[in-house]
Amino acid sequence: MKKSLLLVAFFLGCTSSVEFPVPEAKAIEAPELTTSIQSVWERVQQSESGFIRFEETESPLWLTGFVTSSDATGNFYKELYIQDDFQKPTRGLRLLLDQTALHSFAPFGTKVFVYLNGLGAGMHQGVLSLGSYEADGVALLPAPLINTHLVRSEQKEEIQAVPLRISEINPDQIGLWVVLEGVQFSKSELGKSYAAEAFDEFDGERWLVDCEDFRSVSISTSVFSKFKSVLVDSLQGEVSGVLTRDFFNEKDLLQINKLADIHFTESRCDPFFGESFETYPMGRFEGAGWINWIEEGTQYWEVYEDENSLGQSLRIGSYRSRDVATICWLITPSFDVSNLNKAHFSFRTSTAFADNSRLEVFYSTNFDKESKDPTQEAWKPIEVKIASSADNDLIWIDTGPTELPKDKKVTFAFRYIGSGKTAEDGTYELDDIRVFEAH
Amino acid sequence: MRKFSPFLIFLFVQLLQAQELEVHGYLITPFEEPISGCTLFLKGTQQKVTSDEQGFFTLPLPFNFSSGILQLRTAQGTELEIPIKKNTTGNIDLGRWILEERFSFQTEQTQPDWEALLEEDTVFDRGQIGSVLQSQRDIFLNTVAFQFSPSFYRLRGLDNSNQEVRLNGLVMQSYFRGSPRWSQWGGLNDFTNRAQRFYNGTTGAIFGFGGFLSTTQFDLKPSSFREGSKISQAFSNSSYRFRTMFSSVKNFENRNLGIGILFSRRGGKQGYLEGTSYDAWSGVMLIEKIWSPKHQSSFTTLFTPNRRGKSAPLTQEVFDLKGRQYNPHWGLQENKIRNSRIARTETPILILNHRWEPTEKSFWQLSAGIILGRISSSRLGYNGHELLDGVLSGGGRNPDPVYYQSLPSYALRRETAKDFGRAYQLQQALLADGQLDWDSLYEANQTTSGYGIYSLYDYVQRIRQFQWGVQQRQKLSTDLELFSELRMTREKSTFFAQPIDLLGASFLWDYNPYASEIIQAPNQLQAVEEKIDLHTPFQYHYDINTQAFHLASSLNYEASGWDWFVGFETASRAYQREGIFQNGTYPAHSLGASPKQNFFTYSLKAGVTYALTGRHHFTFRGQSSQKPPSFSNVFSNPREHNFTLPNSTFEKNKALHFSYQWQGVSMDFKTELYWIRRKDLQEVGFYFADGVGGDTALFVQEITQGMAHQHYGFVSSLSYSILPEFKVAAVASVGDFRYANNPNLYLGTAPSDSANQLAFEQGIKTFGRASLKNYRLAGGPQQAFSASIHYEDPNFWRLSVYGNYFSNAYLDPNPLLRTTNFYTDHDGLPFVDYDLEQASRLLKQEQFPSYFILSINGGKSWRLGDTYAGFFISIQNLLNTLYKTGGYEQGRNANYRSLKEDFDRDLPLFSPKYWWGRGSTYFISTYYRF
Repeated sequence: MKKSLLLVAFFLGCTSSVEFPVPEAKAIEAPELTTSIQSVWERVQQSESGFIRFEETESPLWLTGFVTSSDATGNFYKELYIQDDFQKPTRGLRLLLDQTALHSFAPFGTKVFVYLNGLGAGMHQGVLSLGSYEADGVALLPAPLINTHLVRSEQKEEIQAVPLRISEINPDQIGLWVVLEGVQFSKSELGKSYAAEAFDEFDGERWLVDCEDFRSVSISTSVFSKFKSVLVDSLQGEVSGVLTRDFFNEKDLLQINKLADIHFTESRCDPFFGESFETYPMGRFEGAGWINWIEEGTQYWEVYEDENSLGQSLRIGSYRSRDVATICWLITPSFDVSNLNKAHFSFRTSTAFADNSRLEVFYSTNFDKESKDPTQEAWKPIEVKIASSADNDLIWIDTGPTELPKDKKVTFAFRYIGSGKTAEDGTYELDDIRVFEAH
Repeated sequence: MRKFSPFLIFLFVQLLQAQELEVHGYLITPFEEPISGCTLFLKGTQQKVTSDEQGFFTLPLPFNFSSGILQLRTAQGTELEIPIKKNTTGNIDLGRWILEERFSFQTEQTQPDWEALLEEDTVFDRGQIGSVLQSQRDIFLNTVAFQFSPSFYRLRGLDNSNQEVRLNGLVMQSYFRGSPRWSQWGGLNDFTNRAQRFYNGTTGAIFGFGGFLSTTQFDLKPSSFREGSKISQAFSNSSYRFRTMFSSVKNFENRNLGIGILFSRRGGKQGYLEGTSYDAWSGVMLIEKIWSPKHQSSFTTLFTPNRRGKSAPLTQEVFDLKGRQYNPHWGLQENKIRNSRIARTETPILILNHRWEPTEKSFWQLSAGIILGRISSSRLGYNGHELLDGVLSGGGRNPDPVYYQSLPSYALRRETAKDFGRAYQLQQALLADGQLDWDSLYEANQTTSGYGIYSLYDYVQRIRQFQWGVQQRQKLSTDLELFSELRMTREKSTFFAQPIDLLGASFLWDYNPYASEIIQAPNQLQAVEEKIDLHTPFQYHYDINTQAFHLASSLNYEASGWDWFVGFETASRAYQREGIFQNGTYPAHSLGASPKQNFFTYSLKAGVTYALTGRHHFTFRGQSSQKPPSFSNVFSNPREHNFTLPNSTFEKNKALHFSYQWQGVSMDFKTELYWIRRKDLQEVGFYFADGVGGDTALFVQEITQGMAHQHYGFVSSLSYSILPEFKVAAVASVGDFRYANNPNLYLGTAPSDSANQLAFEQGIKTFGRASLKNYRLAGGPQQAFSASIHYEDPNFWRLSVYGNYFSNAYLDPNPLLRTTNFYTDHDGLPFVDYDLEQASRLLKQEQFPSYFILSINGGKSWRLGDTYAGFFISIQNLLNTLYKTGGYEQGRNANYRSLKEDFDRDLPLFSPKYWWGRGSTYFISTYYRF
């Protein structure tokens, strides 16, 4: 029996604890910084192709930045935005990485170091981007290489968003973490989700409007984001996000990390008058107080909706109309703006195949609704930015505010001029006609 | 004189020539105790004799006898064969035969590591289950157990849920999966090898109805074992690296008390496959008290806690890059191998038996036992989220180094835009490392507000089973005996997941990130806000209550020339789920008790054996039996809800066997023909299917119902003793195992917009019949052949060489691909690009290449005074042959389009996953008995 006790002791002696303690955090050595996001941008600007490659043979190039994007809610995918400072950034950059769950490596505010040798850089879809080099482009950096090129520090900062007005957006700010104050979702977006509407493909874009000048910019949300089904916030307030460009590099977008980046607490600032045509039946537009009048030809303004419209919008065109000439007027109801403090007027337009056809806008202070021939009225042209053949197709352009005279009776007219000829048969889209007070 | 002393230790045999030729001898233990009641035969004849009180026997031999084989049988069914031969003087003294050591040759063989072979996730793995056998002297069973099993050969093509294992009268069966859990008595080889009886197929003279495939009985009691102690040490590179075992049996005659103890330890950082750690302790304590010649009690305690690191099946792409020993489940942490998938079994078993023999004709046994403890299997969670502004935020990426998006094939998936650079990088990374990066998981968890994105958690089954039974054997006449048994079981199994390592995080949130709406995401609505700590149930939590009742009886007739039996069983089984968590996706159907699922079954069996001149035996046996499904095949997704399969029913099985045995003087031939038909099988599988109803991707439960299987074939074995020391043997097993009909297929999935669009009703949709008829059943080779030579030297060493050939093993077909869903587009019409020829190419069942395995084993033993020592060596797969033992189609590509797109790639993304056989492995065992 003694023998067996000894044996038992022997067995127990062999026990090994297989518990694994939490490993100690590895000390990270900060590399010597030899370049910056700004220098990368400058080098890209100098290159002929717009794309550069940092050769392995160059002396080691390290830059630093603070992370501003987060894929924790699925709104960013295989990309990491960084900017050169957490308080007063001057330039932002996008890292293209073939890796998901980047938030679990470098969450918002983390200071990271990027090793450039072997990478490519360039303006990719309108954004300064770093990734693996490809002839005339940059692509996602393969996952196995990420650890070599992206090193994080233990430093994590509260990023201070750059305060910005929609009207002030300039290309140098692309890639920065910004905050838009005094904004709300356009009335036509209310009731929609961020990116779960039937027409949302890849991304859902929702118009955000500045309460002062009613200029607008889109918030873009991935259809893979976790909050895609949440309805847009109906109040007014501030929105923080990464300022970026759309896939086709056609317009500025704001991309948020999480719903809390939209901080709306005030009541809406809807304009004195706003019409976004959401409530009208499709087809020929007929609204109380509106006049949809054909001067020449067969075409009139119609209500439509497609993946590029802003909800429902109006459009007119003379494509295949066989008209010798197409002239059509859209005349708004009259407004008494005499009691408004600095009344302004704005609207948005876009085009499709805008060629030599034109869209013009006028106003009048004494238009007679009963007039049989609007052409006889004293219309004064309004010189504002209207989408034209110089702009990309299907891109909505906001006119920006135009101040109005203090008058009891202001009426606006939109005149389309084209013909059935292929050089003059463009289509114009119109939406978000607003009359509002500006400060 | 003890009544049962089967473990003959010594034989002293003399062959004398008197007026008639006789073989005399006596049987004693090493402690010079005589062994009585042991039957001795001259093999191939009807000559038999029983040893007397002093262990002496005298067996007359035929007049013209020159050589033959002496066969010994004990009451426990142990068999032993000793070649005997008349020499020129006509007088041979065989001397003292150390029988026990010869037994060792049989039983100490490489116990193919059943537990290791049988493991792996049966959830995603249809049918990767080897059939388990222990051999006796039968050359065929011996070959199956030690040569065929490593290839996952299945006897008659039946998986081990058709196997019944009994431990001291109680049935050891998992009601969850239906199969016995061999790890519950692993590492007790010194006892289990000796106390084992194996019944192949339909059997008469046993308690209970018996398993459809086989019945194995372990009768662990001190009086079955010889007194003394044994210590052994084994080394291997197969599953574990070492095994240390100590066993001791002592009978205190004066107190009528017997005690047996055994401890063993098996361990190793990794086996043949990388990272497959092994850490097992085993202990058993046997106490037997003889109250009077008519009353005996025994108390048995078993505890075999073990933990093993698991391996994974590999696609051809991964195999080509990483080789046959690769295992993606482990990674280094602090320079130590850490496997993320650890299977643990910790189930103490306590059994009480009382035997009563009121008369010589009557035997009663009352058995009662409890099984407690837990079975668990760990895995890495990588999808921890937090609730932020009403939506889930967080989540990680699949850390599996061979996740399909991390493989070169993923970079090459677009026919027109193959990214060779990326593929190269991925390939190099996999070649250079390819293991889990534990440190990065800890680092990731430091980036959160405290919750864990990554965690290690266990899937746990906690068992509380109580079983009791009464067995009775009654001799009705000299030839007629009645075996009866009444047995009842109650089991409460609790299933839940629990974090076992938060990997540096402070807690976990309990959300299902795949829920289609946030309101559905909480796994437990009662505790949405609760932070989950270590060892706290999360994800799912429910009980399954099982009640089983069996009444079986058989009548056995045994007389010279004719044996026959008839038997029946009536049984009932009831399952009930009781949800403890209220699941967010199924708030109305997850909490509380489900309706009871009851099954009432009836089974019949019969058999007859005719012995012609003692050399020829003809046996015909058959059964028509019914078996309830295991509860994993009754509830469609018990982790989330109470729903049961739409039309649950029990299996109807029929089997017919005809066998013929010819026992010659130096030759033994046996052949068996069998035909099996199984009906109304049902099965639940889980996977992510891409291409349901045209182009929808869903996580589904695949329910296959009303399935029929047909098995027929023959097995033959031949052994021939060229010399008493030298024997050659051959074994052939040729079978044909197929699906015999087109079963119904249903898919279950969580409610979501896309599921509603596909007309799922209450999360279930029928997909009609799956055209599986005539597909071969997966699970090991359907044909296996073996040829072997055996040399047994009178100086107590022996050597065997086996050449084994395997063929006709098949890939497990995915049923969903064989339904109309395969060719139906979202509008209900066939795909416009559907091409029948292409389709049949895609759906053709893969047959694995045949292969040849050479194995060798041998050993030697010595007597050292009153003690013994010996060793045994076995080398499996000497030629390092590469072979696939099984595999399955990944369910992901669920229709023609996705499957064709994938298979048109040079490197498909979701090609079948295969289990690869082991290369050369060794097992060395040494022992010392005192």
